[in-house]
Amino acid sequence: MSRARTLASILGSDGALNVADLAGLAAVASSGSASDLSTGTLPIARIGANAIDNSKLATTGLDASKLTTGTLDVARIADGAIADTKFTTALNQRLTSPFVKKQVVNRRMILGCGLYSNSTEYFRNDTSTCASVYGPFGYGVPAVQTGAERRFRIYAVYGDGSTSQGDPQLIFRPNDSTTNQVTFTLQSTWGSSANQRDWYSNEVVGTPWGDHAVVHVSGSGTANYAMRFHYVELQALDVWS
Amino acid sequence: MTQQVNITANRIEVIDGEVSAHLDFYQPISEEKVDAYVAELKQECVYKKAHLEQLRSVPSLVVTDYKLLRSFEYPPMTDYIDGVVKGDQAQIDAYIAACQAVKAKYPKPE
Repeated sequence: MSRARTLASILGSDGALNVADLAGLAAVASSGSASDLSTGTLPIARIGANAIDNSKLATTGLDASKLTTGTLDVARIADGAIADTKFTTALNQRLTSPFVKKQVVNRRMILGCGLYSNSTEYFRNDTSTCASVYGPFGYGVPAVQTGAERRFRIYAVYGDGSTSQGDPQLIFRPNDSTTNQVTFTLQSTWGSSANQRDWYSNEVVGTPWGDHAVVHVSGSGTANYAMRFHYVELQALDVWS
Repeated sequence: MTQQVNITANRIEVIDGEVSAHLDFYQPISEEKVDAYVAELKQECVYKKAHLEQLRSVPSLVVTDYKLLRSFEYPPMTDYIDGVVKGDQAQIDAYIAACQAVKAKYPKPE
């Protein structure tokens, strides 16, 4: 076949070279631009450095909302971004450390200054008066915080001559009445009243009453023993469970 | 030893051998929190037992300073002043005698 006939056979009746005229070839780009690539995969090497910027992601938005799996780097979280509103339960109620579950909200000094002193000596069986206090569970005690439970306890610096005989007690009597009196129990020193130690008493849940109080010194057990109080402080607590 | 739990109208108490812990309530006990209260008190008993063991393991402090020992046993100074105010010589003499007795009990070292 002559070259002229061969060429005419390829060009066909319209005399133009069409894509269909080139057997075995895919579509040929007509403009030479990327828009001609309608199918297939573009090799990464064909994407220029920094070619994909935010403007190319205008509709999809490359932000945290697109992160459905994986871990967000902490550096991606702005300072102050996590507020209480992000928690269904207030943050201070989610903490489990016992050291932050109790918050002292009021301290009422009742007796002494905590120094080693020749304080009055009391005995278990005489329930002597050691202080008279205006509204120990009221004055200066703030309202209970949201979700908290109000409690009261005693912090004391004291000494006693009890080992296993019993424990020193401070009894708060409303207007000096034994009705509804509140008893705070400390722990025996395992020493003598001439020395000193400190301790926190048991806790009382709720606000007992609003009356003024006379505070008596007493002790648990039946055997007699001596006690000295160098410092007594009534503490109001907010406790989260 | 098994811990014993006592729950009354206004007190929850846990007794564990020699130690115990309790909470007094001046408002109705929150029923749904009873288990949490008991768990808290049981833990407090554990702390107390450990603390008791610690106390027992340390010998008692022995004070030898006669001035300090005397200071804890002298009668209140107000007893003397009260005797002077009332002109009660017997009370004044009793105060002096009590002081002398304390001095004799804790003599000054030679």
